Amino acid sequence: MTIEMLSIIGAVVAVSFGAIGPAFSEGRAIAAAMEAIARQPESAGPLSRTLFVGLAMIETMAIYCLVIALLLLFANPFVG
Amino acid sequence: MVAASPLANEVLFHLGPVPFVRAVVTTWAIMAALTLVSWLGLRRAGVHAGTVQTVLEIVVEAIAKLVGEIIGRDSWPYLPFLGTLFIFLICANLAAVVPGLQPPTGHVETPAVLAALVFFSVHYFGIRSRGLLGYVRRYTQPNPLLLPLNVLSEVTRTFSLMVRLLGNIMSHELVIGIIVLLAGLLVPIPFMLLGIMIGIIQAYIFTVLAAVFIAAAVNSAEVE
Amino acid sequence: MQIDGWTLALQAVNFLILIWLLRRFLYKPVKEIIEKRKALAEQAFVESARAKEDAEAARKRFEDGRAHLTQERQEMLKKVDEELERERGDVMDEARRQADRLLESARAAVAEERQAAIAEIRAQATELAVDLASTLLSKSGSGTLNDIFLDRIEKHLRDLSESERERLKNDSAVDGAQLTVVTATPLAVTDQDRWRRRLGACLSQAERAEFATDPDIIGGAELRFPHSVIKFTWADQLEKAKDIMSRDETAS
Repeated sequence: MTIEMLSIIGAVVAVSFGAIGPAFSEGRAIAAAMEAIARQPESAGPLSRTLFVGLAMIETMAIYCLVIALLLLFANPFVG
Repeated sequence: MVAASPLANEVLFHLGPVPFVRAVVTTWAIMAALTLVSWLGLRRAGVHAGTVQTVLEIVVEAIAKLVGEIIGRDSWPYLPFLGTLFIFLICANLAAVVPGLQPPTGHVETPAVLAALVFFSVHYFGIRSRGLLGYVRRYTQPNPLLLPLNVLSEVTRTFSLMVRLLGNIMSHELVIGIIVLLAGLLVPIPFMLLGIMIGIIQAYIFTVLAAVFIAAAVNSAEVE
Repeated sequence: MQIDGWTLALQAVNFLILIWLLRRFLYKPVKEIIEKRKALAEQAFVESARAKEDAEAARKRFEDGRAHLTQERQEMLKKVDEELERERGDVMDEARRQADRLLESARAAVAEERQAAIAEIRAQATELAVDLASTLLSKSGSGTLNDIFLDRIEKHLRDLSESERERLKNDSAVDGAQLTVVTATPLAVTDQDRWRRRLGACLSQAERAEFATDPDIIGGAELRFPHSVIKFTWADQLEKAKDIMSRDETAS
């Protein structure tokens, strides 16, 4: 098994498992926001703004994983 | 390896030993556009504002309000840095909307530079408002044992600032590229719209986080 | 992944230049405009406050003026009222006084007239009485009456003080002086002698006295000295009574 193959496997694992946590948390955040908006429709504006920011922060986790995967694929320090 | 790496810089031309990459040229274009618009809009600034002047005023005042809410004091000393950060990031992230342009933030140098500037400006504003000793004491604040952690967090949060911006924009570009490769016409459009939203949100997050860092550095004087 | 140092430096410089540019072309003008607006708003606020103050002052002035005017009007009304009252009082007083005066004068005139009428009546009555008395007396004139007067003259002469008597004596002592005894009716010769005799007892020159008659004296006798007269006549008495009566009238 070459380093390239290991890198590809590592990238796949990083992206797939790195996406689980943020996906789960984003779902929970959206559910909570929906509940809050349903309860208080007049505060939908500030809530959705905060929700987007929060989603972006959570998504950052997945992005980190994606960056790691990209590094493994395109800028692997162990490859030539 | 893939020939055209998304992380690679496309060098447009060389001037002596200095390579001018696409991101730098795009930044110049953004700078020129922003300066031109500002100059034209506020050239004959009066109490009775014209359209462009009104828009500029609204933008500046909205940013000032946001920064003031976060920092909790007069926002004018911090506005040039934070406001410019926000405006530049919006323009840079949305550069992909203009055909032929690539966002400068999609390559590692620009986010790194911005994160580094945030890092330095936090110290600059902190020292300016509290003095060197008062600012340094902040790192031993809850407990002197936490000093290494505090210093480490300074580095990691700057790094995460950089990676967040870079990863979002770059990965989005990558996603668009893959989708174009797979589906071709029309299908990438919703993803491009999503890209606009991501760009705005990332600019907002970057600015807000920078403001929060500066506020923490400036305001813990009162917490003391 | 390679990080290009040149690009880092360029981007950092670019961003710093952008900060400067935007500060120069965006933030400063906007801040100036906002401050200008704020100043204008402040000024407008101050001006409106001043205008309000002015309006308030004007209102106050107006109300003061109105109050003043009202007061003045009331004062004037009061003054006019007082004046009217005073004038009315004056007129009333004057009228009352005039009426009083008229009444008084009328009363006085009435009283005067009455007095005059009474006086007239009295005078007439007196006249009548004196006339009556004088006619009665002249009709009833007789020697006995003359004798009464003779007694009285005698008594009078006798009662005269020494100086008086001396003066009478001197009066009649002048040469050619004549004592004249005047009676109302001519005395008989016997009577004349008796008179001469009796008067001479008191007054030496009476012995040469002459006799004359004057019906005006009604009764009684008069001793006419050259410079004085001693009257004991009815006419004189009646005259005196009339005098007394008329004096009583005026006194009453």
